[in-house]
Amino acid sequence: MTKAVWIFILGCGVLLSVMLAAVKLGAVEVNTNEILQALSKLGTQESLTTNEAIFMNIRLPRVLLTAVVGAILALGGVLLQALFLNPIVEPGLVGTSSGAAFGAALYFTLGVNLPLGEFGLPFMAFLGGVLSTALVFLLSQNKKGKLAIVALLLSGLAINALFLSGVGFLSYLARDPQARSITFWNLGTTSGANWDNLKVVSVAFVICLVISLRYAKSLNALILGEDEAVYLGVNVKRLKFVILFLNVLMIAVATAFTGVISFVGLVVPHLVRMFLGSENKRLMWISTLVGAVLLCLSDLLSRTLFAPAELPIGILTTLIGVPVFIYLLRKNNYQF
Amino acid sequence: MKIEGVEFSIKQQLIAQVEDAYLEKGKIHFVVGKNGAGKTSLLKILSGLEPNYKGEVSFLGRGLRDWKMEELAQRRAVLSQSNFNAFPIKVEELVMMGRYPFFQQNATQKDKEIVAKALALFELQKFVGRDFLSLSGGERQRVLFAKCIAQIWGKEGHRKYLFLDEPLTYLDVEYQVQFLQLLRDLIERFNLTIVGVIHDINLAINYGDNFLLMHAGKCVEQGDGSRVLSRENMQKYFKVEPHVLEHQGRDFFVF
Repeated sequence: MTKAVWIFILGCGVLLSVMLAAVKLGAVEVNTNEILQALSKLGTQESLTTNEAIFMNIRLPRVLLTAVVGAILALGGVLLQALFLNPIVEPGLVGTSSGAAFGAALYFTLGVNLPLGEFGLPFMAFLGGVLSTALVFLLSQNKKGKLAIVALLLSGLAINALFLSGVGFLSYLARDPQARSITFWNLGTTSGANWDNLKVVSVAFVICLVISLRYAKSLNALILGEDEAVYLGVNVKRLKFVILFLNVLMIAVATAFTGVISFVGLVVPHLVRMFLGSENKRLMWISTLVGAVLLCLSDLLSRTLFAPAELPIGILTTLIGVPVFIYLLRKNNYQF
Repeated sequence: MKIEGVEFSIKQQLIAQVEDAYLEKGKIHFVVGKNGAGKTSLLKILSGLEPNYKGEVSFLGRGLRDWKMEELAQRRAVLSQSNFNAFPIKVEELVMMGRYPFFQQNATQKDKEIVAKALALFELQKFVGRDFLSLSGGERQRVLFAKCIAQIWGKEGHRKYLFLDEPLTYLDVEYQVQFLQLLRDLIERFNLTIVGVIHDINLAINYGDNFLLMHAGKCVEQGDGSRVLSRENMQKYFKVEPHVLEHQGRDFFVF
């Protein structure tokens, strides 16, 4: 077996351990016995004790949602970095996340009356994500239709500011307590997790991962440049469209339930690439795993560091992410 | 491969024009000319990258524009003057890209064998596991060449094309000669036709079968070496006054 397969198996072990720790620790500690009891009551009518209910209805969906969102953010980073051939882009920087947050906030204030059922929230977040991402790309194209990375980052900055202030405005109008919290949208939290939103996010993740893996080969070819990719039979236009679409879809759905969580999509793929190279299939598998581990750890820390108070998860991911971002900017010596 | 009235312009500026040409199978065709004469543009048209030209190119009996990119990738490889440095990539992973048009998700045993043979052909085994970006210019060129060979490897009886844009860049004389000799050998082995842009006139004369001379966007001469790469054409189109040395019945130039 190859090195990557061993790392993947090891990573699965680490993820499971972190998740186990995460369901146990917190403001209330749940022990192994209670976890097993709660699981054995699945499907029966027996009532749960308080600790068992905390595990079953709060901790477990939260930890699972955190893992899936971490995986989504990392995969989004892999896709965007591969598409733009640049290690400093991530969904948060190109406006997708803030647009999605705006769409979600709009849903909470106005959209509850829309006849969309349970998909109303992810749908609105998706529209917001499409709008903001499209704006960033339109603004950062030069006359020849090529993207300049500096223009991309600056447009991202402007659009992020615009949409997040839009979120701020809407949060004054909103009645829903969660939607009212600016902290929630800006810094993210997985405290709103339940089995229903876990279901929606997981479905989006699995669909996007499966399709992304099918395009891994084409993204590899793109490393050699667009012309070379065409020579190897890649339909570059379709590739770009599909990858952007998948990215917006996943990120929007994740952001709708957890707010904007920055820098996971930047740091994780970069770290994995440093150790395992740029082959995108490997990068996707390992990055999703590392993203899940990283976000679960961040969430665990955010719940336990100042327990019973809870830090927004984005504070921790930003603390890790900003130094890496600055390092990358300096290393690559971008000319401003 | 047949070219009929091909004309490619950008903003009314003529970039590449070939009235009429036939690139016979199993031969080495070289496109020669000064810098900016339209050689690379012509190669982009013929390799299917640039579809916005007037006229017709027929590739293996079918209009070039009617080919899907996926199909085309199974019948021709292109060694271009690519310059990429965004992400590190391992040598064997890069050569494997040449097999991408032939498998869906995972490389088969056969693809892996072909990659190993292509690496061996260019004496690249010792670079397996190395990052492509850590190699020298000449070593990189050999890796990219191996990728192209992996792409046109195999399937006896199927005609394949190899397009080369200045393949000798960065190579020292030993490898230049080795390459051109290798091309000769591969023609029969893979049922190959080669179309290349080349700068070294003497190597072109020595290894080419047919020549297209480009000047100011137009193909002004075509045919064999003695006709296209004559002393008069050297003076007229390259603005040099070479001495002529005869060797094995052919004229070579000392500049």
